[in-house]
Amino acid sequence: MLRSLFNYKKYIIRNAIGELKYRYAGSALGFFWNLINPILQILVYTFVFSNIMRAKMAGIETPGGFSLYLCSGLFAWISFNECLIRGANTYIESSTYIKKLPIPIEVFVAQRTCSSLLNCLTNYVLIFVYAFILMGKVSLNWLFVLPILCLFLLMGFGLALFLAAINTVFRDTVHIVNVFMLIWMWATPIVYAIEIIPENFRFIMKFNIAYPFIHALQQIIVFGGMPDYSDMIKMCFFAVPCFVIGCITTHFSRSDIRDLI
Amino acid sequence: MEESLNVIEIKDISKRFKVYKKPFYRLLEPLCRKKLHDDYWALKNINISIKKGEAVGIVGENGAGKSTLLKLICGTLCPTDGSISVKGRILSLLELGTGFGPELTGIENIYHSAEMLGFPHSEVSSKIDSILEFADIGEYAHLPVKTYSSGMYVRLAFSLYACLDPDIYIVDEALSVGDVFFQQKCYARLKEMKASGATIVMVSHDPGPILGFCDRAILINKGQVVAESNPKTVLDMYQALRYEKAQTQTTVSQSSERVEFGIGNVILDKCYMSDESGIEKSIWKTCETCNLVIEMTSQTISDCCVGIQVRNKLGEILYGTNTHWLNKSICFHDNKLKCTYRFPINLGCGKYTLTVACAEDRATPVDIFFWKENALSFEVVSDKVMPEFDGMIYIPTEVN
Repeated sequence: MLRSLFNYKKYIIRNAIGELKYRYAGSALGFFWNLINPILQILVYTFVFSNIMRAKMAGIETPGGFSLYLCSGLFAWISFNECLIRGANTYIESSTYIKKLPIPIEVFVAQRTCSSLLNCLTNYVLIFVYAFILMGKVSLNWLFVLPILCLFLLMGFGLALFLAAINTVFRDTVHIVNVFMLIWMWATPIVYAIEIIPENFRFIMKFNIAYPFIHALQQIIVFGGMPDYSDMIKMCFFAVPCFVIGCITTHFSRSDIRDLI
Repeated sequence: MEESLNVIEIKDISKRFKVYKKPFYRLLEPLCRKKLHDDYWALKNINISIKKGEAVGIVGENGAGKSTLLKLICGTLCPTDGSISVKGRILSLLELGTGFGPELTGIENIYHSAEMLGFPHSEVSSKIDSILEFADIGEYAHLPVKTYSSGMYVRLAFSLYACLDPDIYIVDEALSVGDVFFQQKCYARLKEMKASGATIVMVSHDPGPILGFCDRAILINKGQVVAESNPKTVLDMYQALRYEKAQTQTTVSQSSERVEFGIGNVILDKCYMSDESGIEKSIWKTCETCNLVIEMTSQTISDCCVGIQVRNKLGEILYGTNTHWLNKSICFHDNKLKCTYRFPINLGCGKYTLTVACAEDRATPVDIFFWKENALSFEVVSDKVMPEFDGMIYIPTEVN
């Protein structure tokens, strides 16, 4: 399975880029929407949280501080969310290709994950620019963001493979995932700070497999620090098994999925 | 050495589909350890080997397993048992132009689809000119595909397939689209590919291309290979098979596909077309002479009038006659009557049906003993001996 992904790496990457390129095909600004969208998002959050809602982050006093905190977690989450939901629907959406071409099915999931990752990376480049404007300095620790995002989406890829296989049989999966992701998002300190959660409930975060990723990102970008070692260990500890589960599911359901769609 | 020449080698292949009453049962099955599905064997113990440069036609009725076989060859389905080895790149026309994005321009779509089919960018760029030339859609190549007419869409899609050169070509019914000129262009192109050593696997309900094109044909029925021989023999067997099926199923198909009425005191036993030597057939060449034999039984009637109509595929009557108009009186002997019409098939290529009827022998009959529409169907295919012509009927013509 890893070999098939490797064999098709060119195809996956090219299609992922193609997808970003053609997502806005036909519109006047085309490819630039990929950049304009996150910029506008950042601006809106900044405006709302520094002028209207006046949210403040402990430890950061600049007016855009909260929106930086928000975006540093939210953009990763949006991509993760997209990766899972689109991933779960992959085999149904690309059934015409799967029926027609002998390309291994996981390639289609990988392609979607890859485009989520690329999208995510461009967003983070913009966040860095924003952080530079806000704080006036560049931190080497920002480089940690790349492996963190890769690991985060590796986890997403594994889960997406698993969900996609189930979704071919049980098509309600996507809708259930949709609702679940919403709950999960609010159960993760992305929009709020972890300090809001009462002390005796914080243990829940130990079971939230997305939390170490989000937390590490916020640490790096907002506070310019290094990610905690415990977070790094947890990230690997969560991402790798998810990926393995996805691979195993795909391996055993491969021929059934082709029969089904 | 002999072995290595086979580009497609299918060994003892079977394909089973599990049919579940509800899709949800599939999830339950491993949990409750009970068998919740019925097995459906789409293919059973198929052995086929195809050599390099060969053109093979696959015929069979709907649901016989043709498409499943093609999908197994393409690798889009996995066999339940047996093994398939395919050497070389396959290009299949199973679903023409599915990879096209409506917002992309024609040229972008060509690159995009070719890549999905496993042909790298560099290879396509060297061929882009010939692809566009073949498609012949002019300036539209630079416009989004959504602005295309459906004809242009197909042209572009096929041109892409036509100009890539794979080792194995899989052709489905897809070729029956587009206008006649384009179709001819496509077949000419396929011939070129074959001449250059490509292997072609073709599936069609249309006997024409299989007869004119393939070196060998395979008849599949109910998931098994029934015959494997030269195209002519196999197509005849296919017709025989269809005929056999039609005979046993008359009671079922009466109401849905054929209009049938009459008093019922004359029963049509048999009705078939045969050539000069008396062999039944249903594929004809223009201007062949055909004998239409109608056999009837009646307990109560002694003389009657028998009529026929030839209709085209739209149901329009091309020609109709009867024994009364032909001034031939016929009568039953020992309750049996065999009436033979003899006429040349002066028809253009296409599918036709025959209506057979029997009534009392008067200029304007009141009692219709029976009237059976679509009692027979036959097909006229082009004959390379005859000069080409256009239209539904053939009029013997001379020019000075």
